[in-house]
Amino acid sequence: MLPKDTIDKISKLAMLKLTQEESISIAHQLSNLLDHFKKIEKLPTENVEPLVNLSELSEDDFHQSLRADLVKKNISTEDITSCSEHKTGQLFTVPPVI
Amino acid sequence: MDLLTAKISEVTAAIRNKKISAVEVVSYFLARIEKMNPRINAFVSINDEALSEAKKIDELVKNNKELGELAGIPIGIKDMLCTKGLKTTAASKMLKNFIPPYDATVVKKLKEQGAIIIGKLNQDEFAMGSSGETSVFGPCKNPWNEKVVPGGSSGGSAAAQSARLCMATIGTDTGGSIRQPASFCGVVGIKPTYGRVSRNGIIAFASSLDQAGPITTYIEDSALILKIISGHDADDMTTRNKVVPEFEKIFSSNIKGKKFGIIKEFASSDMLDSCVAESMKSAIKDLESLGAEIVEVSIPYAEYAVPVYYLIACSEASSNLARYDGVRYGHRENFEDLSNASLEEFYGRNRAEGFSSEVKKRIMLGTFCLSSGYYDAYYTKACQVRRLIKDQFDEAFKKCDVLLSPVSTNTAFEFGYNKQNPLAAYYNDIFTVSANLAGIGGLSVPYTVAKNNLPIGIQFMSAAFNEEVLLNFGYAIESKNPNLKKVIHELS
Repeated sequence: MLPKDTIDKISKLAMLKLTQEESISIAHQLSNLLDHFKKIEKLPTENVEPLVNLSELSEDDFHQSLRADLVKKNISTEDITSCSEHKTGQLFTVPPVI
Repeated sequence: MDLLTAKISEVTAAIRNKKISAVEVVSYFLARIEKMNPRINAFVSINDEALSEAKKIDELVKNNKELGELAGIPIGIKDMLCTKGLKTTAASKMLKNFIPPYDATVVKKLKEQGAIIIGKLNQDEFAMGSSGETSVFGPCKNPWNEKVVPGGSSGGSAAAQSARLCMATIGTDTGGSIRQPASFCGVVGIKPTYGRVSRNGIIAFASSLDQAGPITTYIEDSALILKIISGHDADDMTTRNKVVPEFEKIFSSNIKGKKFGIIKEFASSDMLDSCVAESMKSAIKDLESLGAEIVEVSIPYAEYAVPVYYLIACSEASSNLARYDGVRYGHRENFEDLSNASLEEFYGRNRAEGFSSEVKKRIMLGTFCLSSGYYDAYYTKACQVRRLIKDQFDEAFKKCDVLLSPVSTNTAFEFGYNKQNPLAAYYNDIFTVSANLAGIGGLSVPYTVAKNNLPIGIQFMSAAFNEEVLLNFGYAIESKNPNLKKVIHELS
């Protein structure tokens, strides 16, 4: 089973404040899955370029798809801030960070 | 006109010819939703403006103005797609009050053609699941039998279509989330080629795998919707500059001389339920009787598709879902005193409370795969095997026009099954995840009804940007099975 300090490290990286119960349950489930998923380890993949994004496959199309990197305003500040219940005027309220 | 069985083209023609009004059409489906939704929980919200939008269509008709190809057609949208002014939740507590300030490109394109967005549809939370059970709104039920799941993650879209609560629905498919529920509910579902349909405004799960597509009663309806939502979008640079065929006009049921491939490794799968295995044998005979030729192909790495899919999908999800921090939108915990909370505590608690256990598990798995020390062994390795799987599919399509396979290992299962069998639940996706990994098109078309009185679909897969041949084979099967539609409608 994945050790507790690994789970603690991962939950910190993922910014998830897990309860102790959740940590134990996730450690157990992840270990089972990873044990099973390990079967890809033995496959010969030397010199195989990882396929990260399918867009890379057609270079012409990819370049045609690019647009000018220009700022355009299509949503108003009011519309954007309307998504939050926690705001002061047009500013979001957050904990003090300094 | 019987709206229960009509095709989209028949309804739009009737609206144009003033045989029925858009208001009558929308009212009919709103009444069905009111009557049936309490039983199946497919819709999670209704668009209050639907009738007034229908009135506008009727005004256009009255004044002989130009009408879009979907004028007056009520369409349900999975709650993963942003709808301006209409709540979009991903079926998560995290987004329970989120009202998007813009429409997803898919939604915009449907509206431009006069479609009426009738409401939003239930799903697994953030599309993570294959049963619809992880929704914050409670599970959606299968209209064929309310004791079994509708499938997932687009369970609400498939169930609503199966029960004919609207004329068409939109789902999203990251590893089978359109095709599997379509099969479980006896409707047509298409996962288009990656890059065919814009992902702009669709809540991201796994960006290199996600595609939106139609779920409909008829192949012809899927063809029309697919044409409308497809095409290059400047707001999604992964969409391709390919000409979008007029899918609904070009397809035929003639498959004479066409080749369909059977994947050797799938055919020998011991996970296949006997009724699904029988349906495959019968489908092969049907296709041969229609003049198509069977070819055996081998994709040895297909058996690794499930681990590769989960490692990649969860890695991408852990990155995509990092945006939910409770600052600008989304769930925020009730902090008694915000000035005492550290930023880390603030993020950590918002996220822990906003996501359910399945989403947290996948974020943790993805974060683990991307973390230092494990990245190469899991993420890079999975991406390497993904390339090998894709290469093997490309090779297979040199020998055949489509690949035929089951959609799922079994018919719709009972509620609670996935929780008791988590690994089996993941392997339920074994026949569908490959199409997402390889970026190719996939279609689930209703084929038969099993002895347990639940529908079974079959899957066709095609090379990238060749959805025409999917529709061709799908229509051939649909035309051979005219009674199947009748069964679906009687049940609903």
